[in-house]
Amino acid sequence: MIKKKICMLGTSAVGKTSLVRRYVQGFFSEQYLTTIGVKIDKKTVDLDGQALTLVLWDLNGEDPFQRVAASYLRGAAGFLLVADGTRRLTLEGALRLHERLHDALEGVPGVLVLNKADLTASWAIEPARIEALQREGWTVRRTSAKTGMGVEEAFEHLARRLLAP
Amino acid sequence: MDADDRTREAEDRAAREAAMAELRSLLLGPEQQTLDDLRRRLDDPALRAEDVGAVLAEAFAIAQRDVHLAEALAPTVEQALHRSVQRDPEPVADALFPVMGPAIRRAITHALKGVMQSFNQALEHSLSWRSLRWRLEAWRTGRPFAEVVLQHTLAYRVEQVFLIHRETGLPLQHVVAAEVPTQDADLVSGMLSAIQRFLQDSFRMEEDDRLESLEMGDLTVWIEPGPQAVLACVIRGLPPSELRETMQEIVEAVHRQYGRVLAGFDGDEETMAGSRPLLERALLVQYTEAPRSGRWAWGVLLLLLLAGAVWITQAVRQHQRWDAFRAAVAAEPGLVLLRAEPSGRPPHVEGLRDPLARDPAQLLQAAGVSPDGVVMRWVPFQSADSALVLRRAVQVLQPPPDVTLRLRGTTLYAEGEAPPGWMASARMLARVLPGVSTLDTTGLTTPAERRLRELQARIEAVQVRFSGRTTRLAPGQDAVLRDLAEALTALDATAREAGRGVVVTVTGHTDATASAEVNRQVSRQRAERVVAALRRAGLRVSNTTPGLRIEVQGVGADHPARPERTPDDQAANRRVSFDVRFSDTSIPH
Repeated sequence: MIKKKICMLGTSAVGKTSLVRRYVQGFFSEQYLTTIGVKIDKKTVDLDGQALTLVLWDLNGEDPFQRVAASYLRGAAGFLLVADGTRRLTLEGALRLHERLHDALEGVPGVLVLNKADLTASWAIEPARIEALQREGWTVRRTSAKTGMGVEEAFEHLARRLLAP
Repeated sequence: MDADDRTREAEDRAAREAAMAELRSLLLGPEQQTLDDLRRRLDDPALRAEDVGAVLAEAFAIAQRDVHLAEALAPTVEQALHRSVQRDPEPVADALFPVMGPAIRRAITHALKGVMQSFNQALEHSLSWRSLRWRLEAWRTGRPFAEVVLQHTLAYRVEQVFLIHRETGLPLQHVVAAEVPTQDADLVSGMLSAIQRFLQDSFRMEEDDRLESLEMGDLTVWIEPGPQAVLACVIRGLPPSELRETMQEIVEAVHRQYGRVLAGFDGDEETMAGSRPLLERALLVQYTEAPRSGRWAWGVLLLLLLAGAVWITQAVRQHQRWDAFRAAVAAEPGLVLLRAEPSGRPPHVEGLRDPLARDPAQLLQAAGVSPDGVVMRWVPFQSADSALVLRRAVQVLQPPPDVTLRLRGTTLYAEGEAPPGWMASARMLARVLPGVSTLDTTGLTTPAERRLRELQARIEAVQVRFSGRTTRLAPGQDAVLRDLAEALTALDATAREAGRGVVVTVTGHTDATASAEVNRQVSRQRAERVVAALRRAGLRVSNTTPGLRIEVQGVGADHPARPERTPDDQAANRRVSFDVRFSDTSIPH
């Protein structure tokens, strides 16, 4: 059995924990997030007959009052950078966070997740912006933790990249 | 630089090398050849392998004094064995065969010892006053009994051991003590790593500062860091300091054996599968009380086995007794067993019982089961069994002592001598007897009838003799006539009593010496003479019906007593005989 450490990154209230909750059956209380800043879950996926366990480190959202501890990223095999698609600032905040943690995440594959895709009426990320991000090398996925749309696919995409030679 | 310069430079270099070679030859002399040989050997891999092979055995012999060689070789040997088994398991199986038997026996012995110790503890925890106190404590505090026992007897126990990859926080190996509930090793390992980093970040600790211990209640987590992996032991109770040394040894051993694997760890837990025995060395346990000798447990076990054997024997015997009782009831007329439950509390029996049947309690007693304490409920019924029908007929009809009753099918046969009154009542009662359709009384007789038959036989046996060819009675006939008169008088009285008419024919006979006419006259006279003599002897005849009537006749020589060949034959034929006939041939029944 192969196991990989995955980190969930993003600013506050973008839906990281909701995405994890949608994806896995939780074990620890979410109070851990507010105490030590991280909650750990796991999910085993089957990729073409290859079992892979994703150990998900759901890190607290970064905001002016608390910063994501870079030490939590050590040993990460991949990450999901999560932003709220209805709040453009969260996307910029996520990208700034990624930039700040560049040293810890260098060479680590990641997926940029634009969450809350079910709120189409208030969607704030222009297609041009997404295309620009893709040109920069980002893999972008639209998800909805509320409906489940795109959640499995985002994780699976990352998992496949982790197993790619 | 032109071509001439380059030529000159080459010539100078060649001259210098020649000078150096000459200098070396002068300085080293014969050693030069040796050095050249050594260089050639070092440059040639085949020669190098040959050299190593020559000293390898000696090198191993020297190095085996140090444990590091075994640890360094272990992964290679394991890999070689693994590949060999994958290719063809038979050679390894053949090699292991001689050691498998002893190993299995040792494992079984070890397991039995463990079972015995557990049994000993279980007995101690079940039967002692202390266990009662602990049960009370468990009941009072609402905690499981096992937890209370553990609290009182356990010094410490390492319940789980985690080997965690320091960089990723992923579990490399995880072992758990028996009967300990486990958590998800992936998540626990991750959270332990997260806590460690949280503390380092929060309190700005140095990278080398490590969290070494966590405590909560009677649980302690001891953490022993290594360069690549961290060992964490979850301990219940108070661990001794020696455990920390054991943990350090394990961490060192892990790094020695798996250093390269740990450095390149990519999340594949299979690469660390062989580290399990190392971690199991830390699954230590110590009780506050040394386990006691197993003798007591063996003794109790023996007693329990004996008690079990006695109980089984008694149960089998009791079962057999009840089977005998069931068979006895089945064979007994008038008893129908509906239910017998020997294991009931109390045991009970239910069935149907004819009041004339044997007491079931006697059958139970005869089978060896004490009826005391057995609840019996027998519902009365009338059985159609022939034995009980006959018994009931005897009980109801109450035949006189001389009457015998027999039952064939549904016909009841009465035989013997009975008063007419009993016969009449028997006929009436027989109609209402269950199981009896007919009462056959043809085999019955009355006392008067019997008396009449006796008198008949007595009278008809009498022959009165005469002298010569006369009508004079032969000498000695008086006594015969007196006896005959008495018999006839009794016959008259009995006939009247029985309501019967009786005719006694007195027949005179002669020999054949005279003519038939004479004989007829003489024979009649002889009969009349006898009747007259009987009257003189006291005969009183009522000549009524019922009652006795006498008729007289003479038959001459027509019915001789025997053929006349001699004078004696003639004398025997000169006689009077008596024939008794009842006017009603059917004796009233």
